[in-house]
Amino acid sequence: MFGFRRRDDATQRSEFEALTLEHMDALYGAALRLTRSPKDAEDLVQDTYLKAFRFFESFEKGTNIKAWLFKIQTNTFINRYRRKVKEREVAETPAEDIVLDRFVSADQVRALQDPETDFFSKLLSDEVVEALDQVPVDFRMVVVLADIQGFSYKEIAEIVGCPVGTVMSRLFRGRRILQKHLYDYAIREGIISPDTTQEGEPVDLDAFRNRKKAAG
Amino acid sequence: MDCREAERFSDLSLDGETEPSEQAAFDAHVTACGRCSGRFHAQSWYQNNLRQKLQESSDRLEPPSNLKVRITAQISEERSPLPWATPALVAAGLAAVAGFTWSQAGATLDPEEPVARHTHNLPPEVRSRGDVMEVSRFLSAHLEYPVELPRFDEERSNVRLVGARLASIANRDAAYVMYDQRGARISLFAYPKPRRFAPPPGFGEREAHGRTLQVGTHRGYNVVTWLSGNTVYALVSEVDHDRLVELAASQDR
Ligand SMILES: [Zn+2]
Repeated sequence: MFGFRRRDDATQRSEFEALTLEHMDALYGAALRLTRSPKDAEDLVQDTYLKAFRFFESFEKGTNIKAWLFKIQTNTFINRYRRKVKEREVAETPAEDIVLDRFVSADQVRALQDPETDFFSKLLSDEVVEALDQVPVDFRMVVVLADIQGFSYKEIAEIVGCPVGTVMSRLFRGRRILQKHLYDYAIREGIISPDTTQEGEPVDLDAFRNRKKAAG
Repeated sequence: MDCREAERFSDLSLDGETEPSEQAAFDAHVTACGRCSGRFHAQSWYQNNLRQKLQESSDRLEPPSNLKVRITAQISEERSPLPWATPALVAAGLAAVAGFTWSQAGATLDPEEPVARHTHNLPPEVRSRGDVMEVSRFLSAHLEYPVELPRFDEERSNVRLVGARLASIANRDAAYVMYDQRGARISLFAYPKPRRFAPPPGFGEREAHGRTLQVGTHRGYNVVTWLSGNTVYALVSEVDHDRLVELAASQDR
């Protein structure tokens, strides 16, 4: 019954598998960070491979297959899951967290850096991931691509389908939001004392002005 | 370069994404400005440690052990991405290669095959000329079991019957009926009930017009499936579950 199948089907499949399957772990990891659901992540990766196989002919041999696969996956995510993920995030994010203009100051970062604080050795990588998962999805996406997958800005722009300038601003913002979550975590867990924040430079203009008012 | 610009450029510098002239201006500012120098070093320390933590967790993460098997099975079911030979062969091929999931799993109303057929998006073998007549005739000529098509008001529901083709699900000939709702595709599948029958895991039950529907999502697609007589029906689409439930309920009217 399979007689009419093209003879080179098997060749094409094994070529596809040889090139793509080694990236499955990376794709799954990124899918999990994007969807925050193991079930959706699995479906997303499976769909990515199916699409990649169908469009394998359009893949330019010799170019970056990992970036190509991530482009397909990111595209599928944006079309099919992003709205759902966004709705869930808006529902679970406290209102004050949506406006995240108060980033962590340099002095606050330095408080983390203090050898006595030993922040990163007290921090489990699961806790970092938990903090990352709280970053809104559009920002989280570029942080995952840059800081976990190590793609360049240009590659990320290609994968996400936006200008390099947008990648830079999302990455900057996403990283600062994550930093804020980690800093808040450090205070909550008593890794650093909140007192050090009082000494720092103002985190934003309003705080600066308020402090001036209080002092004057 | 001023302090604000230097702050913006610190990420670019850490990522190795600056132009040579930008890097020179950045270095000059940071060397001269104590505040930015302190900030940059703190940021660089933080960023390196953070990346390490993120990568550690990503390295530890393992996909479910059966994912690779599912992917290769799915690909081997797929014909190579080359142009189809003839429509007749396509139909025959579809019947020949389908059926890997259910025939093995057997016990559940696995939505995998209907969803896979839906994503294939093959052209209809018969087109509707405004009513269900052609499609009904085509299906009853090719299938050994009756398929009840939902009957609904096209104008009111905005759902248009496009046509139908034969498919293969659970190793049996199946009806694949295509609808369109303002550009969104809705696929209806009908196929004989497998010997053992259980709702798909993760699906919820919904009652509509005295009929029990299994409602869930598979690979990002909304699926509503139900049993009527000895035939399983499954609607697959990107349109809302409520819409699909409405369509399913209209089958009896
Ligand atoms: Zn400066």
